[in-house]
Amino acid sequence: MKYKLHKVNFKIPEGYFEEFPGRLEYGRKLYLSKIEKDSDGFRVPEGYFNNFETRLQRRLNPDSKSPIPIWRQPKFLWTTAVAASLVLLLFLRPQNQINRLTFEDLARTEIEDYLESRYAEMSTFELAESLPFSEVNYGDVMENMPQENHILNYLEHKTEAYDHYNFENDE
Amino acid sequence: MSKNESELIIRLQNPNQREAAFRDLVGVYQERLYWHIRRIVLSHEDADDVLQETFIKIFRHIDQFKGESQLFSWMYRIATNEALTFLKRRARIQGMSDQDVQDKMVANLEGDPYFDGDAAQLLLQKSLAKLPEKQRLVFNLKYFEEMTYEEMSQILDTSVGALKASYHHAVKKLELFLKDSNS
Repeated sequence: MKYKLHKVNFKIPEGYFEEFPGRLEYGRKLYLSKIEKDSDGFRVPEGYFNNFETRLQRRLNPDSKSPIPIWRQPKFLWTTAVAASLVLLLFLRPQNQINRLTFEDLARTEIEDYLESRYAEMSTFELAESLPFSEVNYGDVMENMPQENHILNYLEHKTEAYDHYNFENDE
Repeated sequence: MSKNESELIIRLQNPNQREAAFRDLVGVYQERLYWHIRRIVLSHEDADDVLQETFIKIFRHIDQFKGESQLFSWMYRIATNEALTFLKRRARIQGMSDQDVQDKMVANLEGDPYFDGDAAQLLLQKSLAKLPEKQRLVFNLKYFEEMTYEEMSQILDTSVGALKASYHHAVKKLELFLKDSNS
């Protein structure tokens, strides 16, 4: 056979017969992988398929996750204890020790601070929106015209750079 | 569709029998779907996550199953989509290409307690990781799961001819990879 192949000038790749046993070995191993399912090297933890359905049911029904009644769970017990202690502490205190605060007890400065900090968070537009239009008189604005130095001071400190830019563009 | 499968579908779509039918479904198909997913994501933990997601999707969408294909093909399609989406999400989160993720997964196999393949089996996985996604899927389904091209066609929504070509290319490339690694 070898002779005949040489006679008709068939050629084989260099080193073909030297590599053939190695390739055959790989082929054999691949073939073995085909016969035995698990012999591709992968395996699973013991009992995995027996427990899978239970774990899946837990995900599908999250309520079944905690078979222990809630009143027997440690977290519930200590949070209940803390809450009960606080309630007892509040109600067992002598009444004369409880200071009931009223609006009059607040210092004027505290009220002013509150109003300043509260309204400082509002934009001019929001502030205008919060004032009912019917309560604003035309005279409130026009009869108390600010002085020129106040206007310049306001423009210098209160306006943003992009306001100037828009203003210039509008020109 | 077999009689058993038809009965199972009727039970699954009946709210009163759904839970018991679903338990039966999981019992019958969990291993097949697991191994299909495992060969895509390689690690056991990832395969477990994807398998759970797959069954949850099956449970939630069983009403939408119209019986136009076999139940098992429909489930395989969900499992395949879930596994591929899982890998793509991982690639996006880690800022890696799909190929980088494949290479990393195979590299992790060497220290994986649930992979005890020998050098040849590891080499096969390394070679598989170099294949395009579709060819890798077709090779796994045909070679390891011994699925027919007709069944594969339903799962991958691809013609039988294209699948045969994919398998042929996959085998040729694997032979080349294995030969190069051997030399």
